[in-house]
Amino acid sequence: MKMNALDPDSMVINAHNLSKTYNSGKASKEVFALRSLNLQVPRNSIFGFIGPNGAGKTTTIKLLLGLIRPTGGSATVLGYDIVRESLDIRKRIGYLPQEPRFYEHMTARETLRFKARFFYSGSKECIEDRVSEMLELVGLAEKADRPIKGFSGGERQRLGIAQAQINHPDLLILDEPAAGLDPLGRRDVLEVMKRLRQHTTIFYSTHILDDVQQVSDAVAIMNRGELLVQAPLDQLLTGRTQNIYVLTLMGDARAAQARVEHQEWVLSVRVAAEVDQTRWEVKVIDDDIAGSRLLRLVLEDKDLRVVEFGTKKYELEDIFVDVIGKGKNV
Amino acid sequence: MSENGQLRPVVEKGWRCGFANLLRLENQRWWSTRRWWVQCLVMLVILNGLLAYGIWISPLLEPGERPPDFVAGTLDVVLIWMSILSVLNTLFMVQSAIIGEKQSGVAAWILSAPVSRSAFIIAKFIGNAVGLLAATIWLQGLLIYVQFSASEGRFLPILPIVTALLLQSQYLLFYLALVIMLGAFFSSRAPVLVISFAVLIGQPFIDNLAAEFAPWLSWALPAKLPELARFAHRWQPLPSYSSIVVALALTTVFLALAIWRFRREEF
Repeated sequence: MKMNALDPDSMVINAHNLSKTYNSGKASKEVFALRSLNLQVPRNSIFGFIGPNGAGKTTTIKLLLGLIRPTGGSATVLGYDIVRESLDIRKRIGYLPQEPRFYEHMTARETLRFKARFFYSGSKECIEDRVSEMLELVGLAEKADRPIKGFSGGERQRLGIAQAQINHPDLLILDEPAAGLDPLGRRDVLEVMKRLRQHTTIFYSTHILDDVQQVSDAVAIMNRGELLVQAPLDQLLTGRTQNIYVLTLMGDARAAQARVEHQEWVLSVRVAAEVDQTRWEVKVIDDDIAGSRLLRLVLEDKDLRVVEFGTKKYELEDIFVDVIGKGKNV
Repeated sequence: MSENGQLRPVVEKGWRCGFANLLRLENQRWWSTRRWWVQCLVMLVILNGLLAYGIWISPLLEPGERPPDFVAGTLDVVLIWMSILSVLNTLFMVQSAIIGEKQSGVAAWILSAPVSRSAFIIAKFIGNAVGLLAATIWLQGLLIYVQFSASEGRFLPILPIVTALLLQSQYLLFYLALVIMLGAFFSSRAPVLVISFAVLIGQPFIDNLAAEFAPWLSWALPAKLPELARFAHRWQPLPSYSSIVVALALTTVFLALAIWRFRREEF
């Protein structure tokens, strides 16, 4: 399910066996923060980088930014080597840290102005125009001239996104952009990400799976420094649903169950009794045959009412729990 | 999101990446906040205030009764105080310049932009050097010169005083580089202050020990710079240039080590 077959030139991030170890302090004892990561992030995607705390997400991001050095492997961002050409990378990306920290005495406008001048020279008006554009983008125009020390967590996060976007980067790297935000703050951040997707590639880490499912095109799942899964989101979700049908029935379903179980294209029928209803999960071998015959087979029983019929809809959370639980590489 | 065609990409390369912007920030922290005038005011009250009190308000000697070396002797005392205060001020003002930003995460944020780590260190050094030298040495030196000239009723020769202030400046820069280097090596303020004070207090001890057995070592200590300033403002030949050379060399080494260490720092 990995995207190794895709053209490397269309990748904004390309990591090969990227590793990071730390000495634990004990003799010859090394701790792996990241173990042989092979990661490809396609251009113009919103790429969700997910995993539990300590999975290696922030380590990966810091390696890509040149804030820490790899102990093994290599990686390129936008075609530049992360060790030798880090400055070239940082000229073309934007970054939101996990806990954005700015100069507390500065206002939001001053912060953006300061950040903009790392990328641009030119007239003061030009810089101010860009700063105002970013303040509007994240909805901070009204608080632009207040010191940051009075900002809420959500406002800091939005300022973080604004400063990350100030240079109109080719790649936006966001480390837990919605962490610590209330539902409204999270919604705002996701809205901003959706708006930005037309202009840039977004690579973001998170452990909030609902968010990933809302906005992402592709995901990678990390755990304990290892990449477990990398795939387009729709492929990840539908790839697991094509062989299971879900039916909710009212009435005595035992005869229908026996008929279904006798079909050679049916692997198993899992039955869960609910109040006045029975819920089946029918695992099939051939999706086409099942799609055309399964419902007819059930409706042969005139006293049985079908309340729900369809393929099983997995949530990303199901896949995440499954993958993390099994610790499997897909 | 319209492209703004009039913005020109910054073309700094290598170690200069981000330098101009960081230096602008450091200068703003000095000159666009209360910092510069608070520093000026404190030094003004202590140095020029005491001098004014001695010369104008409660003169022990009337101008006609003053011995020929009255100005030089008084200036000796003022310069000693200037060296002590300016160095203490440097230690307290700059101790958290790098550590504070490492701890808060601001350094990591800045370094995620196209900024070289060398530029980060050099901007800290230059920005603080300009502020500290201006507020604690040169502005004070100018007022001291004006006070003495007014008191004597004539303009005193300016070159000797300028030379003395240059030596005081070198003394301050030595400690500034030391604190910045320690800030790059350590991640808490305690070792920075402890080591800086050990260097400050330890030099007179070494001076006393070396004076008898190895006078050359005594004159090689940066702590001798304020003493050389005494010779300079009297326009007398300096007894040795060793401390100037050693302080210059150590300042350079400290900055090089700070850059070397900071380039290896992981955030």
